[in-house]
Amino acid sequence: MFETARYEATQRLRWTVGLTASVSLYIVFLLSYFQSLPKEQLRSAVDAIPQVMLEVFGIVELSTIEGWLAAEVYSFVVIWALGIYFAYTAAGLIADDIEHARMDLLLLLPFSRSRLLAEKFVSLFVPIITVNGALVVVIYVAALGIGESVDPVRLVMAHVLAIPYLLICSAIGIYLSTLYNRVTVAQRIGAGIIVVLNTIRFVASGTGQSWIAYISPRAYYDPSSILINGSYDVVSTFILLIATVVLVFLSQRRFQRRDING
Amino acid sequence: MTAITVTDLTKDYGSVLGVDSLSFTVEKGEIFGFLGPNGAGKTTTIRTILGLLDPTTGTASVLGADVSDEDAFIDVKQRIGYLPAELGFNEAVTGNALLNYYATVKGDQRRTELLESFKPPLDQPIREYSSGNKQLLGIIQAFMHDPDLVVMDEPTSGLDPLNQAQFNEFIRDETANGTTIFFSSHVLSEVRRVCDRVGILREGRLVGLEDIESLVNRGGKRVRVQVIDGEDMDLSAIDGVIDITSMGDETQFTYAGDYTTLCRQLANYEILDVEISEPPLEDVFMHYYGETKPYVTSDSGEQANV
Repeated sequence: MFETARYEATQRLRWTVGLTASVSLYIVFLLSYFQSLPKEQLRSAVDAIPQVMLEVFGIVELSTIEGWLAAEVYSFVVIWALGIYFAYTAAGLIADDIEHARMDLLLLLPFSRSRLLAEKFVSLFVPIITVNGALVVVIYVAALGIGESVDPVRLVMAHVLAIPYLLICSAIGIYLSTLYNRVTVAQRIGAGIIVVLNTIRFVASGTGQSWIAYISPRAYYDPSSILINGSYDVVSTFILLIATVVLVFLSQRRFQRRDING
Repeated sequence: MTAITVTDLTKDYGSVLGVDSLSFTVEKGEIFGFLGPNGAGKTTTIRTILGLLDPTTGTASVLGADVSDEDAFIDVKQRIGYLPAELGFNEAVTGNALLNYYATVKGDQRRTELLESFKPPLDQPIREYSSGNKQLLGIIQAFMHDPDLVVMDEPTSGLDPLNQAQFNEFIRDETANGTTIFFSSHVLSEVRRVCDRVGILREGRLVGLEDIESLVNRGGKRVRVQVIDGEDMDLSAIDGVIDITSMGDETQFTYAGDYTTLCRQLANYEILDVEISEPPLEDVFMHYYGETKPYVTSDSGEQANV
């Protein structure tokens, strides 16, 4: 069981370490930058940012460590950068093997196509969990390093609940991976969809169609409210997990039926 | 007992018909050659009988399992080895790492034994492999789990002549031990050396299916006659003489008739030299393809004196 997931995850170990290290370094930089900025200036900056931008980038406040983390680290790094990154990576899971003729040998191994797809998806748990686990430690320690403190429970919850968000981004990616023969097409569309879904709240409020916002995974993961108010919604997390399962299932169905052209 | 049964198999890509109403069987323990020029539909057939493509109509069963029934086919895959025409490996890993992964999924009972014959540099990342070494790795992965049936698409491409000869000997030994080999090629001489029976594919349709001996006999013999200077030779009237060419005192032709008749006719001339040999297999192949010469290759050392 899970031989393929283990093999794929092993292939991604170096990549996982690189991702975790670069994101950690960036966060240390963001926190030291926060320390150097006059807090009064940050308060007036929020007033100067247009409401639309505040909504798109999830900015509530910038002058407290929690507000700064929510806006700079969670909105930009977790929701935008990692969301796009995992959708992009997952979009390569199937299409890349087909385009580079690796799928033929994989599909002659004695397991089903559904299982192959599921195991490839599961292999992404390793980087998703590793980067989130590392960020909890890095942010906690870095905050202490600049003389601030972050509630460890809120910090842990912000990352635990980031996992379903990154899983749904990955599920969108893997579904696209079963639709396209060319990996770059699947990956670009995957990244594009995350951008659209992250800005859809703006479209929703602009058109008066507020329900549109609920299409976006972002409606179900709100790091600002976790970090600033300590509140979170378990139902939203379940919605993300169920949507992930549904998308992976649809990907399996699609992959089962498609021709693998050489 | 049959290893592969293909019945009225059609694969329509929409814009082009890949294979058209193909029917044939491959018996257990034989080496079956699947011959045709590039684009004839060999790879489409192979991909369909391995479940990579869904047939448009018709059926294929391999080792008793319908390839369209995924659940039934999973168990059978354990008994199949596959060497595709285009070998795709994860280039970042070493040959050993890749074989270790395959071993965890399908077993590697014969890995050590295979590595005595085929020696790719297993400790190097696959991206550093030559095409020949990739092919050797492909052969090892195809046979490592001791399959009952091995399907190979253009297996000797990329192998140097020494490895080719070793490979041909290897697969003959495999069939002696009961393994069925399905082998596609556009190289006629290769099929001639290795296979028991051959199916010939043209534009997606099976145009010939026979044992290799009949295939060669059907093409007749290549005859070269040298007469003394100044003698005018005309053999075109003899029944069974085709493709006659003359150059100086030498005449060459393909002969599919009776030897006694030929010898009687030749006795009318002052002969310096006669050579009767097996024809290049392109000529045999032309029989199935008519006037349009397909893209085929054959090595020049094919002729053997008789």
